[in-house]
Amino acid sequence: MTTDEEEGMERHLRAVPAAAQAPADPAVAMAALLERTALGDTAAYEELYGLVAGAVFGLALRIVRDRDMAEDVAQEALVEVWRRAARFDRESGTARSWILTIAHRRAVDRVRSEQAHTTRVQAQAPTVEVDHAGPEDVIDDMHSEWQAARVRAGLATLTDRQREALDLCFYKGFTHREAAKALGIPLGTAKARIRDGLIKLRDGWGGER
Amino acid sequence: MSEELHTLAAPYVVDALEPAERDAFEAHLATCADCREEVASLALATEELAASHAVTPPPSLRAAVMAEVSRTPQLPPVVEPVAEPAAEPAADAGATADAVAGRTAGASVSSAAPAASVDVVDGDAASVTPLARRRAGRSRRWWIAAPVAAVSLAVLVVGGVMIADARSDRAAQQALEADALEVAGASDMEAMAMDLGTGRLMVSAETGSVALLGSSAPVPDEGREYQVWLVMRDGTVVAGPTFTPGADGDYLAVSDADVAQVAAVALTEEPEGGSEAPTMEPFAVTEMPAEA
Ligand SMILES: [Zn+2]
Repeated sequence: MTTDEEEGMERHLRAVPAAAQAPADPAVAMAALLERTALGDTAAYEELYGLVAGAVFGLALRIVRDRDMAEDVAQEALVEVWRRAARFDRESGTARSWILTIAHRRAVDRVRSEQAHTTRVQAQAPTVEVDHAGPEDVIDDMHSEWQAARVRAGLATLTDRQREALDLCFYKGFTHREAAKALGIPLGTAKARIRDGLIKLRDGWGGER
Repeated sequence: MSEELHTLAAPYVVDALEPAERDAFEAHLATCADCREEVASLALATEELAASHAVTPPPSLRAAVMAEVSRTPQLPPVVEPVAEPAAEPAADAGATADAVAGRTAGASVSSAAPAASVDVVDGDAASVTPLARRRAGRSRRWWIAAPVAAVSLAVLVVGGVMIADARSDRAAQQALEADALEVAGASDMEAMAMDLGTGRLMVSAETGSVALLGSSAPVPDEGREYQVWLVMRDGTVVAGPTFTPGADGDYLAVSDADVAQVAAVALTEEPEGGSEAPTMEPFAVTEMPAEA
């Protein structure tokens, strides 16, 4: 099934600097690796693992806040990436986004099943800080540092209300309905805050890629 | 209700929808370019957020993942590789192991199930690249079984089944998704598990309908379809819509119902086109909560 298109991608891939060197924009390489994974190529999968496992594990840890559980969630998500690789479509987003979406969903599902719905709503005060993982574990390379700093800077541009709504939903696993309830605002307002917050982040980061 | 659909993109990208809503919105996404665009655009922000927490994973993770991967079959592309020549044993093995593609392979030759209409392109599929086929199949991800031909009988029986008649497949699918979302969003909606893949049954007296959706369902044997049955409190059994899961086992069926009178919802496998009365014991039955 080796088509010209795939050969082209492989050549391109090999022209990219070694993975350890972290290419400036690994998006193309990741997409190609994921597409090879879809064909059952475990070597491509393992290379992809090297590029995304840190982000997947870190995201899971940020959400479930327990190392063992995060490892479990990361494993589930990464195996799902293997299983569903053929469903990736590079025209509808980047490989990294596709993979992290799987990881985020798994982590959120885990948080929701771990904590009873009402407990979670009641236990979380509406004033929650958007904090980041403790410094001890954070991958220590220039790229990650730069990325984390950018995200912090972006979050700082949001209003407190936007940040709150995003934090509850994206990091705490609240549904939009639960977030609206926790914040004492109408559902439409909660949806608007999430959307406005995301747009502000996106536009703020858009120019710096 | 339809304007409601388009406001779910933001909660969707942060995974803040309830499972039923999430499924219904994904079904909507398959047919709404505006929402797909919004999701892709907002996902630029969530991707950065998600990627900014990278932490060195424990070394045990790689070994565990690679071990699991070595025994985990892969899903086939959305358009199944049924016409794949035998020269591709790896892909074949994966597809067959997944059971879905394996079983659809037989059915697709005669396009027995309407849901398999993806397979109508098989002749072409064999001559194009896997990537192109994957793209071609993309918009069909939420392919709904039985939109047109197979359903006429069931529609007559149930009356208001919202699939069918002369509408195009696509319009029928959109209508079905909108109906499902309406049920999902109803304030009195109750969701229950339904034992077909990862099935969820949603009922709402407010909308007067029951919606069944799920994924990972096996494809029925050739010439057979699933059929929904409404078991009424007075003991009568009302025929509901028929459906066949799409390539990745996703399915969606909606039926009008006098919800207060429904005691249970059951599923059987019936000959294509459905039956007026069940021809087998149901393989899945979900009882409604007792009346308050
Ligand atoms: Zn829409």
